[in-house]
Amino acid sequence: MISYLYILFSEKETEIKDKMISYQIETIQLQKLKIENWLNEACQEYRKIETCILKDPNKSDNLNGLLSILINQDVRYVFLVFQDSRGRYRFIGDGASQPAKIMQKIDPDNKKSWDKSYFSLKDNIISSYSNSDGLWRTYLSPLVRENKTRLMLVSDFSLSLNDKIQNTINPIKNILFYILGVTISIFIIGIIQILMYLYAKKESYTDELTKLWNRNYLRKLLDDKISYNQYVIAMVDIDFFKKINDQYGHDAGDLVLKSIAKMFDTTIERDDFVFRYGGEEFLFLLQKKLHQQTLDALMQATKKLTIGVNNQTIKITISVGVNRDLNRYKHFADMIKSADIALYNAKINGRDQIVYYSDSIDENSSSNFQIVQAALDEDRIFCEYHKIFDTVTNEVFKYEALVRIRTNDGTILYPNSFIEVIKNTNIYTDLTKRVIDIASHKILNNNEAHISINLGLQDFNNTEIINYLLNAIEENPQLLNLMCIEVLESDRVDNEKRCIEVIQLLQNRGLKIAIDDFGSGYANFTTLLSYQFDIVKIDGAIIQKILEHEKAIKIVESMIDFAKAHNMIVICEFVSSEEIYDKLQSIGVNYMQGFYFSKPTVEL
Amino acid sequence: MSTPFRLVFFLNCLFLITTSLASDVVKIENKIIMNMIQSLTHNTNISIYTDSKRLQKILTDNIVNFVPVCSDADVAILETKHVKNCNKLPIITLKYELLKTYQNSVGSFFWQKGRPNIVFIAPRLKSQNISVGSKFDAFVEESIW
Repeated sequence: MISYLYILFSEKETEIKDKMISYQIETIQLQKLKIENWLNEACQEYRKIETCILKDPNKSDNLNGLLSILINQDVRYVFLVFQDSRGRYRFIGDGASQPAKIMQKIDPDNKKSWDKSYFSLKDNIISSYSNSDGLWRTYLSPLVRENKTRLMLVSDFSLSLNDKIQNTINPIKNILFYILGVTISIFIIGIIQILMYLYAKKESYTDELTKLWNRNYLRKLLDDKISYNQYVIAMVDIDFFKKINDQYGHDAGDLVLKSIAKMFDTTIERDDFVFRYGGEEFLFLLQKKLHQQTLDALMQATKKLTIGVNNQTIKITISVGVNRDLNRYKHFADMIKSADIALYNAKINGRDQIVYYSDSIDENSSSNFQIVQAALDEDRIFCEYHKIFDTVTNEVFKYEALVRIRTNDGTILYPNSFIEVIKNTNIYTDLTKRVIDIASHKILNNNEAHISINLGLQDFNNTEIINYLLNAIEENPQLLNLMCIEVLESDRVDNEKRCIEVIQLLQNRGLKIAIDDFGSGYANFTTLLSYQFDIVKIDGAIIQKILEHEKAIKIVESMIDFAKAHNMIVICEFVSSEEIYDKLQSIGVNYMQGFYFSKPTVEL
Repeated sequence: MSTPFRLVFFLNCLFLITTSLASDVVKIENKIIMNMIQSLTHNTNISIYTDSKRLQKILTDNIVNFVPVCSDADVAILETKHVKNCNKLPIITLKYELLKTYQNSVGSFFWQKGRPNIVFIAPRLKSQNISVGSKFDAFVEESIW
């Protein structure tokens, strides 16, 4: 409204000025009438007024006198002209104090406008172009008789009149201008605020690292009542992502996430959605009709994806869990849960695959992630302690801490039902830290108790676990003499050099390190080339065969000889009978563990 | 081209000059006076005698050369009525009334009612064998009023 008024005011300024000078024109018109009347009377005998005026100087003076009345501060010049046969304008009268010569020619600055007024018999206001005398507008008023212009009254308004008018108009214009300026400023600020709000809103919906949608946007979509029957949910997890972080560093991990996120975004269809759901977890909403080809495309693209880090190339795989039947669920959380279950199945079945949710896999998986997490949250993790006997002193040499989970209904879960599934996840790390806490607590509350805890070889590449262990030792230095780490591993480890360094570090601090299940899988003589263990625990599978196979005895004997030669203590486990006990004792085994002696118990 | 057309044509030129140079009176004066001078003499370089200090600032063209005495000038441009010894050359006056003072004045340029005015006097042009060209036809008068 203000801008309309301002524009209107600016456009109408000329009109306003014309209206404001109209009072001057009224005065001129009145005097013009008088002049006409006087001329009619004084020159009635003459056909041409110029002849009348020329002949009688008194009449010229009278005429000039009538014209001079009109001259004031605002009206600079007032004079009468007529047009001769050659089209030239000549003075007949002049109101100036030193009037122009009668019949003298005057060259108009705008002859076209003068002629137009003269011949149209109409008054006209024109702008003055010659500003040598500070002229602003010229008022042209024909004196008409018998439908013909006899003379033309020319009145030049000075710039002072314009200034007066401008001084009246300008304050109003300025006020409108300032208001308009303020309005525009407010408008611009408003626009900026809106843009900033939209940007912040977009930022709040966008994951900072990957630039994908985040959970906030997912929530918004759900609030906007997305049509579930048109979509399937796919939960996607990067396989062994923790390993990548531990091996290459967190910067490399971020690069992997950014690279795969970009690939996801460019691979899905236009009406699909991808969200960063967790650390290395992504949630997809895929159009139902195209989801299979989209998922295939994602798997293919992932296989082709190579990420360069420190002159090395990282290739990754993903596991995908898909829930196709969203309509059967009331809540979105349940839809995700089923996709999660399918994802879990993809993980335990070897990863790098797509699993579609069905009721049968739900029963089988029972979501061990949730079980372990719940047990951690509800403090249902505990250890049972299995005695290792010194057969020479007939006393307990140390205890092996074995992790257990007590379910809500009192059932005890053993590691073989959950450890493998949660490996390389944060839950595994949390569980390991809890076991360190439990064992440490047990040691500290039972002064003389030597307790060993089990760690996988890969755990020595887990900085979080190692730092936690080192902190525990630092806070309680007595743990050094009383805690032992049993290294279990059946798989080849990545970054073996790092493992060796960490083990060495722990040994230098005073911790004892044992290798478990020696003789099986990766725990063999080759391993001993790289590591210097303090204790060797011979694989129970070999011990169980010593009564049947002579070879087994020989193997055990050679292991004992080797261990002794390298100052390593030998422990035989799975001693389940007196016969095995006797046999082992006969070949010089001093330390044994097995059901022959006792079963694992909660108390020491 | 007939007289009315010539008049309209030249006045339109004057109008255009004036409008385009409306903010600069000096430039208007320079343009008009140079046109007038060049119509009086066909010399490439023009020697001018003037009693107007103002004119010396107006006419700054390279072809104009101001001389101290009339006898050395091609044209005199006079603003006052006290100049003597200039009666052998064409004079342009800067006031209309000086046309009567200087008998050998052939034309005048002056401002009247805020407007630039040009006048040439036909009999005087003829007596000095001067032809100003058709572009000034609209400004040639038969007598001085």
